[in-house]
Amino acid sequence: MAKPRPQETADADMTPMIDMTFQLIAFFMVLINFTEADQNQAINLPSSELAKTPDFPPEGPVTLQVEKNGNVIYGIQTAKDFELKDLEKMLKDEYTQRKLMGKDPKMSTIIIRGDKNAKTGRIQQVVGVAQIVGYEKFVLRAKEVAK
Amino acid sequence: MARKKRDDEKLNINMTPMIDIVFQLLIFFVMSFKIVTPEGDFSVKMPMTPPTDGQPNPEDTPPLPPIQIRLNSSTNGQLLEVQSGPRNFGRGEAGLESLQKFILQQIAPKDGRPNPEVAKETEVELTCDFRLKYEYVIKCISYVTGKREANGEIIRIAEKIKFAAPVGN
Repeated sequence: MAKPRPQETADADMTPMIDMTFQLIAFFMVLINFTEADQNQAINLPSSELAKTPDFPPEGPVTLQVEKNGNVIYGIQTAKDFELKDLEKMLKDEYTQRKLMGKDPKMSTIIIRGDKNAKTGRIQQVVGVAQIVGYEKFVLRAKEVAK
Repeated sequence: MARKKRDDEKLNINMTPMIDIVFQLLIFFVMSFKIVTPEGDFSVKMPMTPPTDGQPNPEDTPPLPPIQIRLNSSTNGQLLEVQSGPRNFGRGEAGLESLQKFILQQIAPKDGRPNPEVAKETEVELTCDFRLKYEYVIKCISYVTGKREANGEIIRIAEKIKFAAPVGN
């Protein structure tokens, strides 16, 4: 009867480890965020304790990000810095595309993510371009801080 | 003896491949995980064209005229002066704080707590220098849209914000 003992010690119970590992996987899977284009980490947003997280996600958002040096990032075209007239063309294309798809592009929200060290005038220029194209709703994005 | 051994083998499921895959998955998710800081929004109204001369359309005119705020910057983009009409509130955050007090006096002279209806109608128009750092604009918007009390309650001040064309280049 003393014989089976060495065999028992050789089998470690894997169940708790696998349980934990699956929990970890589930946790990271749920929290993972693949929408990197919308949140460029190179942009240092200004912080504000009053910026409020919208109650509803904005309808058909278009994110325009303005870097410190004034480069504009639109969609996935992250590394490319372009002139404002190129941006106007791209926004126009997007506008007509939305119209063709039967959506009202005027209802789309333009999200402005500007670097805190960017020039205000540059950001207003970017907004101006979006206005020329026909967009009407704008939000300025800021980092939420709790004081 | 041989029979007993076979029974034992049958019970042991080989876990190694599953654990390998599970760890691979775990490493993938851990590596691609990114902590995202919460971000909030400020809604703004942007006039399409600069105000035109002549008689304004009575339907377009808001009940209260917008509070004009002028933000002047130094050459390196720092906030040099906060002005509203003829008043100068000074520089930096102290200037913005005085501006907030001034607006509160205007719209809620009694207790400094504007009626939510008044706050909804109060409009602020910002005129900024082109080279002013964007950070100060957001700070200014924070100061004019609301005030956080010590107990965490937020008093809304002016909920409508619009921008005038930037000054200089």
